[in-house]
Amino acid sequence: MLGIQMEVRDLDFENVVREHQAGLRAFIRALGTDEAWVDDLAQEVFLIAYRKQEAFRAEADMGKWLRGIARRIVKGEQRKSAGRSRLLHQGLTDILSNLGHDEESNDNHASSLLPVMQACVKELPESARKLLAERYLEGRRAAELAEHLQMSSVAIRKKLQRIRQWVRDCVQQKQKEFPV
Amino acid sequence: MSRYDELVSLILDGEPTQGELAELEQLLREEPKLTRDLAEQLANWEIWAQDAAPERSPEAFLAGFLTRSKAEADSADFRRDAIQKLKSSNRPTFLIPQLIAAGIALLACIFFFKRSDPKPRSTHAPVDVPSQSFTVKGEGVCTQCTLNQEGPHNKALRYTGADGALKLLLLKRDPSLRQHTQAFCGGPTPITAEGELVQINGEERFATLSLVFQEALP
Repeated sequence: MLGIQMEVRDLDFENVVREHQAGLRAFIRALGTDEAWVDDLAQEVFLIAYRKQEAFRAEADMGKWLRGIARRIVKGEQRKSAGRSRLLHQGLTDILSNLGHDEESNDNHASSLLPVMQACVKELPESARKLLAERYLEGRRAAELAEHLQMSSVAIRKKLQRIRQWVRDCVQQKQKEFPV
Repeated sequence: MSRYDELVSLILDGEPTQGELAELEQLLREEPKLTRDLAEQLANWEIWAQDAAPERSPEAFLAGFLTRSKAEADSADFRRDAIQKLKSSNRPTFLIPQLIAAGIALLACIFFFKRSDPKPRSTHAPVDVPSQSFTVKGEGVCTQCTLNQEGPHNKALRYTGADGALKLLLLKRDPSLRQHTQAFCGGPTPITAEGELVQINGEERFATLSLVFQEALP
């Protein structure tokens, strides 16, 4: 890993951000952070890491160190009132942060999962791909999509849920066939 | 769709209430194996979102981080310089005549502008004070629903600038604004907003502190 090979004082921090941003953002989201605040919180993690990079031991795992900082920030968020917190729900974060995520594999998870997901999404019918694109490329949530497509919000969520389940099954299948 | 799936779909695609999230918490406590499933779904679709939305791409994220770290460094430099200047002025009494002169000049300016501009200042334009809160009076709009622009939905303020031209100020994404989606998407809705300008991924956005919606004029 890049972080391990580098000397502490010569950390090329831009590369550190490039290498770890995807996994770190996924980790932060999996702790129950509101979708809209994930990037904000992840940037905060990197800012703290940048300021405290002398505390990082060269032989240690940079990803794990960053996730430790993220955990501490999220803990701080849990002490805030619901209206000011960047978390979805404090009780949910409580459970999710006690899960003991598979931290060691987290950085690789993002880079290995995406191509498989992309391959699976390509296999979806066009209407399903379009709906997924409207949800993620255009950032429309169910209520907006419902208005746009003249369907109920519940029907949109059901459709998306079926798509997600299909993609998930497909990813699992492909990972079984071609294990990393 | 089981109740668990329904609640997860609300998190991923909808607007769950605190009550629904508490219900999900209860379900996870009753069936702990669901927790890993939820974490996996949140992480996997977050990875998908980063790849799909241009404003969440690795490049945009890095640009945002660099802007934010620069802003932080600049503000630290500013504070350090200011403290240094204060410390180095070991004979502060020398400054008193200059301060008095500056005060007189300021009062003269205020008097002059009050005389030459009897009308109240327009509240339609933001006061030009960066990184400090100010008030904007205008309309709440959505760049896609109201303005028919291509790309994602962006909540924005449309106001008349000091030069008489219509200006658009994009709002910083904030979960607390979701409750106002209808006001923006169904806009233009007359609005008075207080907030400050911030840099998000290299782009200037308005971070709202308060929003007051007025009834649309008939």
